[in-house]
Amino acid sequence: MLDEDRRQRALDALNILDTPPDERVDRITRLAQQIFDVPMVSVNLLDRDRQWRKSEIGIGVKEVPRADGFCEATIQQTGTLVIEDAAQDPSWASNPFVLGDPHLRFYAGHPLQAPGGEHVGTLCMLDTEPRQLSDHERGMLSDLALWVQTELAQQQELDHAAVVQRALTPRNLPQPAGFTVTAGSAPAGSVSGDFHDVELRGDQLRVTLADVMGKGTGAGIIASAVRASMRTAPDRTLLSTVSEVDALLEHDLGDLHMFVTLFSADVDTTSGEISYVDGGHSLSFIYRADGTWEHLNSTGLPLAMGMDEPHELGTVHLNPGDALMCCSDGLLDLLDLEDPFGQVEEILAASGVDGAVQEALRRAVRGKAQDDVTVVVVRRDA
Amino acid sequence: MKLTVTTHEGYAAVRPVGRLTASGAPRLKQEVQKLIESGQPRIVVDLAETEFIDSSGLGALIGGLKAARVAEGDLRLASATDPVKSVLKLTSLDRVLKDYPTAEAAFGNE
Repeated sequence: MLDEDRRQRALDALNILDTPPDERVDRITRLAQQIFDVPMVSVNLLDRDRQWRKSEIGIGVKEVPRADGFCEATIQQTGTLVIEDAAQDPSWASNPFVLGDPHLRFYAGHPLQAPGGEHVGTLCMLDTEPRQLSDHERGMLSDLALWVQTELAQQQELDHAAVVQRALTPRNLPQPAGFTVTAGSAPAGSVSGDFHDVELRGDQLRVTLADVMGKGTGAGIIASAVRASMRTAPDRTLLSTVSEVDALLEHDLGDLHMFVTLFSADVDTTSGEISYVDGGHSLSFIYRADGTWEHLNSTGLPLAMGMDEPHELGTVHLNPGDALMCCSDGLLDLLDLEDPFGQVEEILAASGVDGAVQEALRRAVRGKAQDDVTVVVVRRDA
Repeated sequence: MKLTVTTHEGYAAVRPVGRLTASGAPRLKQEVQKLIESGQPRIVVDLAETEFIDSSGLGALIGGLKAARVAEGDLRLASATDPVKSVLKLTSLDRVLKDYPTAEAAFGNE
């Protein structure tokens, strides 16, 4: 077969094989079953030597050998393949699924295309009774197939965006002498509107955490832009960096009524002196070695507001044994709203400063966070 | 979220009831826009019965504030509940979105 290699590559690129069930696809399968009143409906992907089902009703088997299936014939043509009574059809009467269990008689399938047009699978329905399919019904089946294929392609785009975003998060955190840095994030969906960055410039450790209003792809695009803008022109002071990024965002986003809360700090790793700018973020804390903590008040408005309110610099000192912790407000969604800071304290007491990041992310997964969750902890070793 | 709009001598009041979040924010924005277009850019958002506000709600308030100022008016808050006040304070937005004890007091004798 001439195009089989290309077809297989397109299927592999969708990254869908052997993935868990997806409610968005299952919904279409259920709808098809109800519309057509058939006992079996299935979304199939035709992989090398097997037919794998992303979704199915009434079949109960996740995969079958590819060679015997009706769907193989469906992807070899365009349009809907309908076999009204397989037992009476010389091409299909001796098929093992017709002769033997489950004694299929009726089949209708429509090809599913990858974004490049390759026929990677089918949406099909089956019955043990012969039946006919009107032109109107054929039209509906092909519409449903188009819907399935759109969902599969969208998932691929999101997966790809998630991979790109992961590449932009720091993998190897700098660990300046005398300090321990931990950080982590968990998006609510595929793509996060939070970002964090930790960078060592000489003796200065620059820590930035930002949260773009909303979540998902739109917020993720902005988060990438903020990250890049914060990184450019490293000779600028922290205050002018934030002010200039603010002006840029206001110019770009002002009309969308979106905004970004941001905390960015320079930690002097020789003295422990921290200077920071907090644009409406207000979720940074200093945990002292003696177990007490201080909340760092925000020093200005969120970014992109355009209200002509200047940003200010705050300062605080990190003594040996103290830690700076900042998080996104997604973490607060997971905590007790009556006393969120108390719970942060509890996590820190139970897991220690270094375990706090893991514990917060564990809660994010377990608590099915509605918002993206990000935590960064910088501890000055005792 | 329910939203009522009332007009008064010298200002209009918009009163969101319930949770001011992503689902209700566009309606607030729309109502504020309508008031401005109808020639009333002096707007009080009465938060007495707004039990919660998220970032989309804050975005709508800021959007309304900017639009009102462009039209040479202002957008002010009244009777914010404690949870809403604390969000405004944490985000420093209390610097630009001023809260007054009552809707009547927001524009006072101006």
